[in-house]
Amino acid sequence: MNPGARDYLLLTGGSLGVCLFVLLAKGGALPTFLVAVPGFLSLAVRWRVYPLVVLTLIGYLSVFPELFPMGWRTIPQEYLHFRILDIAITLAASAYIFGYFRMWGLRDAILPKLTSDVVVSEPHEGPRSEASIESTEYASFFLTILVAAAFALALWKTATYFDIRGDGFPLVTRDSREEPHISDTSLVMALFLGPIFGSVGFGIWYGRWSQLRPDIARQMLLDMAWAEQRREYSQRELWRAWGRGQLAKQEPFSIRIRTVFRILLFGAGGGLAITLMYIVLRLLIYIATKI
Amino acid sequence: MLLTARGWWVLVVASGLVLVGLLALRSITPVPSYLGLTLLAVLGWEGWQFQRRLRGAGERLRLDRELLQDGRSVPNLWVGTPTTMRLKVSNTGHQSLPFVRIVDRLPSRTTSTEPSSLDTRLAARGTATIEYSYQVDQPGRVCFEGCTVHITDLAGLFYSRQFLRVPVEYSVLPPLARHKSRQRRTKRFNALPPPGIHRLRRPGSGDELLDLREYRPGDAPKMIAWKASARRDLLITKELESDVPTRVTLLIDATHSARIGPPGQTPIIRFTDLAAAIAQATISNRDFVGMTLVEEDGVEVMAPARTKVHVLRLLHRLTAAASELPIPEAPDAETLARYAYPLAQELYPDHLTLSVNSRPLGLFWKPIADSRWRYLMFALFTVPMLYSQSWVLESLANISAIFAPTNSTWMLFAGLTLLPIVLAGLLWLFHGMRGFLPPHAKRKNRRKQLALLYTTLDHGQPIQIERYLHDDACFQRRTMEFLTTHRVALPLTIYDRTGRNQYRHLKKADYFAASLTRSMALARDTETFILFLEVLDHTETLAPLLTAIRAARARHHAVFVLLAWPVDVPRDWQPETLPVKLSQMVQEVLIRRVHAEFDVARQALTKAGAVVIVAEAKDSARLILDRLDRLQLQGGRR
Repeated sequence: MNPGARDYLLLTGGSLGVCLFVLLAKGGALPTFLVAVPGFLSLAVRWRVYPLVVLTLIGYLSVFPELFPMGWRTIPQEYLHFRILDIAITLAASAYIFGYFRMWGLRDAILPKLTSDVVVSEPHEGPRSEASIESTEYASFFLTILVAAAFALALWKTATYFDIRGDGFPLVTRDSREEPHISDTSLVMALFLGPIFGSVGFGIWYGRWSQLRPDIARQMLLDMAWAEQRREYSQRELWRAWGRGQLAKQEPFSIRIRTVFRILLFGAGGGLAITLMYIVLRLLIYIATKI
Repeated sequence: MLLTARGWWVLVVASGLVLVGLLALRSITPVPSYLGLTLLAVLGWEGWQFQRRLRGAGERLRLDRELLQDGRSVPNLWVGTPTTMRLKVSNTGHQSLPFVRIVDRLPSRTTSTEPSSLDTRLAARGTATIEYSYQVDQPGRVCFEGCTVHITDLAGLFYSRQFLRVPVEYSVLPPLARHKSRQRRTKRFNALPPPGIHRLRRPGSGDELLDLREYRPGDAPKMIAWKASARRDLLITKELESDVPTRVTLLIDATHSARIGPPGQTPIIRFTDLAAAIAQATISNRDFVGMTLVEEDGVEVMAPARTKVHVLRLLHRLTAAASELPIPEAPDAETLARYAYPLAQELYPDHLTLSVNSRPLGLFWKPIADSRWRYLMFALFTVPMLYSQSWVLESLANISAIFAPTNSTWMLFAGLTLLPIVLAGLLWLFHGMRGFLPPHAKRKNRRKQLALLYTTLDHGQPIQIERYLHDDACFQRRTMEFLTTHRVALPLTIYDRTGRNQYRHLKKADYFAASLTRSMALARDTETFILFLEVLDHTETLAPLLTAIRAARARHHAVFVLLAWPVDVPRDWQPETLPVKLSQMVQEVLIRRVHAEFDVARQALTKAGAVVIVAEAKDSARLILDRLDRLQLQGGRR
């Protein structure tokens, strides 16, 4: 096995072990076993859905550690507070997920599969080569996970520390004796942050246009111009195609006469059909009134 | 989109955890939302890093290509000679890329003996170099369009593909030195080489005795034939033959009919190989070589010469002729789009992304007014006009009264009166919606994307896009040009429904005859003409060529005709006694036809005085040269 893949395999296995240990400490043997099966299978079998199954199971078992749902009222109060075990399982699960995909890249395939419409020069598939492994990537991996977990924790703590209420707008610090959860008003206010983030994202996206390559910029302008005048162009081209078709036809006189006859015949047939329909309807009405 | 499938999955699961954690479980446990937030934070950080690197480095890559032979940079490739291709991908940006896979795009039907890809980390201002050995086994031209750079993060959650487009074309020349040892052994070279080595029966300074004559004042004493003088008692002088160069003119069939065959084994490839060998062997004998290429729309003449520069020029022209592809009889627009779209995806990925090559929803709507159904819809819409006639409404009311209960009669009446409109509306809707379903949507998508790409490449106007969408002929023309530029071979239909070869060139024999006559008119002495001719399906049109060959033979020129035997037809073939399957019978008929065609052509050409050599695929150039030598020594007789 690729040494890099082996390192990540150890890392992923270790992370999974921490997850299992925490689950065992919080719940029982059965839920731990349920996570362990797909968890260790994911390391052996090449099926990328397994880690996501493990993740979902961890999420579920953090709510119901004994596997089966217990009544809402019987949930211990300490579950509402952050514990070291919660932080440990979050760190371990994150390391497991991202470590797993890195291992996948070194063991199976680093690049995604392309759609059938795209044909690129071989080799497209295949694992990442050993030569591309940098010694610093493990350190940066751990650092990223730690910083992300700290960031998420800070976000969570901030959201639970401050409360947004109608009487004390904008911010009121939560009483430490209250349950540390995010209130509805905080959630609603968080939704207002969406447009702000959206506007910032749009600004960044718009700013990127200044760095476009000339050919790409020209294509974008062409595309926009086409989209704006598409209907008019389409009509023009349809008429052009019609004219070209008429020119190409060049039917001889006999065929034109035949076409005229056909039209007359069609008209006569239509008239006859309408007359017949009229007679049938009258007949139906007559029968209906008699009945 | 930059997220890969696995990236999307992580995003979906993490977002799900956050949403469920915040909306449903926030008063129960913080773990799902915290775990989801952590995953989203990692994903967001990786995504931001990837975008930053892509902008700072991925879009600032530069490619340099070099062809090396024995450590030196060379401008051409040689058939069968391993050559090293060196690629340098430089990152001119200020960001590094943690993982890139660089894959060189090899020309079609060629292979490299070593991997032409590299996995590496590309540092800021750094360079990645790929070197691989490359060999081509057929003459022609090869085009290296550029290389694909796959950029991804280390977990494969984000991905981008770039194509560094730096097209470079190289000529693949036939081997230069292989036939230098083909110099004639019939005569030794002098220390001071004569202008040629061919005997001419005119007085000159050769070695062979031509005649004896009376001594004239001024004759060199060493030329006096003393024995003959003693016998006749009169001074007799020896006259020697001349050593002269001869001229060989190669007339090569470069029409589309000679370009048809299995890849790499077409008659034109065979002709190129043989013509190059003959030209080099001839020049090594200090003879002149000229060449006439008979092409689809005329001939191209290269005057005879015997310099090394001339050989190289001749080889370059031969390879250029060999590299051209036959142009098929305009396949339909959809077939062409199916060939062009994957190529465009590979070579122009940045021009086909959704952000720069949009696909508005209205594009996929199929307007009913453009179809035959418009008449039906028009008829349905005009039905309510009949309501102006009172008897129609009366009839509908009566029918409603008959078929519906009293309290819902008006509903049936309303339904019946509105039925045509509803039907017309449904027809319009279903017809329009069909455009959003496969295969219509896929076709439309392909065509629109290609149309915009062509317009961008041609610096065209926006209306050109719509023209490509509506005008099949225009789209076909441009797509054919696109495919030809990138050397994509399209499938050929050689025989039409009537069994006639679509690539038959009716004027080929005329062109050959005119070229032969022109060469004869310019000839000074007896010359050699070697015709490389593809005769399959052309035997009926050979008459002018036969006349020209007869004229050449009447002037004592030597005429050789080299016919390329089709690779996929056995030469020594015996008909099956009882073909069992239909496919066998068809195969037999075709083989019989090829044999018959060749027999007829050979008999006609031989009768006209030409020496016919049938070159099979297994015959090497050396073997053909031997046969030509032998036949030349026999005075052009078989």
